Amino acid sequence: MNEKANVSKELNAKHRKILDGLLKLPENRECADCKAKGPRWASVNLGIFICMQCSGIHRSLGVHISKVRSATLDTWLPEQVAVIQSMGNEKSNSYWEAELPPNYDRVGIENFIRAKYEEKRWIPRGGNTKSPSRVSEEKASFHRPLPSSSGHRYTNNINRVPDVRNIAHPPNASNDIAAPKHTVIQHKKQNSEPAVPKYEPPKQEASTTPQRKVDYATDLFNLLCTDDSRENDSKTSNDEKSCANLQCMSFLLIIR
Amino acid sequence: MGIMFTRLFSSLFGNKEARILVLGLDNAGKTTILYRLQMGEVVSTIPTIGFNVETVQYNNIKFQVWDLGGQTSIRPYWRCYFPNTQAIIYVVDSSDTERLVIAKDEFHAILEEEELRGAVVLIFANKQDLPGALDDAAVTEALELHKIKNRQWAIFKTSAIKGEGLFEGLDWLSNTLKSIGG
Repeated sequence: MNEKANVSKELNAKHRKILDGLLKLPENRECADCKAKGPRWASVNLGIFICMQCSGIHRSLGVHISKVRSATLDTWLPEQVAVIQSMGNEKSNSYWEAELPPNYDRVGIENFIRAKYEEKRWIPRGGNTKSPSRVSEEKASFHRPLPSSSGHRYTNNINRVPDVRNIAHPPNASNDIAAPKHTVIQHKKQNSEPAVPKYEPPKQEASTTPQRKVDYATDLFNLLCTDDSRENDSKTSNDEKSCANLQCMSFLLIIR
Repeated sequence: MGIMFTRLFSSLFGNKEARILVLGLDNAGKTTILYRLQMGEVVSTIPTIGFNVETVQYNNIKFQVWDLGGQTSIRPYWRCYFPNTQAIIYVVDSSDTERLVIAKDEFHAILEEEELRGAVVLIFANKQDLPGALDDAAVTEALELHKIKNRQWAIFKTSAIKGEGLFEGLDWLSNTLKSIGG
């Protein structure tokens, strides 16, 4: 009937035990984003543990970027437990914070989280093929909120990122899945009109930024995105899709 | 007895009161909606563990709005708040299409509650500002609203962040409550 009904008491207890164990690992003892001690919330698609404050920010990003659950108050599905088990804060940050300057000041945690997951500002840029000038160019083209602005403005920012793509899943989806759903945010300066979610073939991105081809991690994450952005495929069963996504995710985990 | 006099007095002078529950899955936008209605502002929220309650005066009705936490393990406590409720505002994250089936199941479980037999239902298809959000027709279908019997209901597309659709929904709610003498 609901998440609970799909997960028996025994399985739920097992999940709780696994999550408790994961929360005791040194890497998960602090929030993946703000480093606060003792996180009890999680993003089940990103596979990270976060604190309650950051969970509020993650929730405001939308489920196409982060799906927040409580490690203690929510019933988790086996796939969700599997994802966080194989990811965790350290592995996740090695991707999302790959290009983060070492002494980066995380003042204004909302800006930081949006830059990290929405703009993907610090994901790997193709290893040694990366040129610093190109990076700075890209950075300059990002919409970067000023740290001094009020929180409300950022809550509205989501409306100004028109290129976020998402899929309309069939409403009769069997249940909640842990399939990692990431969206590609194209790096445009501004766009006043929200674009209609549409599928763009991945090759377009490869042709504009050939350096990315060598970066398996980025490509795989993009693969996850494009898999999710096929609106025409919305009739495909959700289970199938989650399977495919999980496979991609596991592959990514293996190569990393 | 005193309460009865108060109610009689209020209804004579057009000052109605209504107890409203805002329900829905976690992260549907319940708290954001509550404070958008009450303060007219977008507030930063954290997950609600427990409840928030605020009074919203609108169209000569004093709405006492209860926003209850939506996490899986605290949903069973919703029923503690059911008695004397005139209306349910059921909030759905229209972009969280994977969980619509859970939203539907929770919704129909609420409708079966004896204590909510007389409550009218307003559905907010929220987060219309997000990419991939289903429209009101698609949410109507996903929630199987056509199965609702013997109860007044309406669905509105909303964006709590943009402030769209909320007061249109409240207009419907106040008119409906006035017409049934709630």
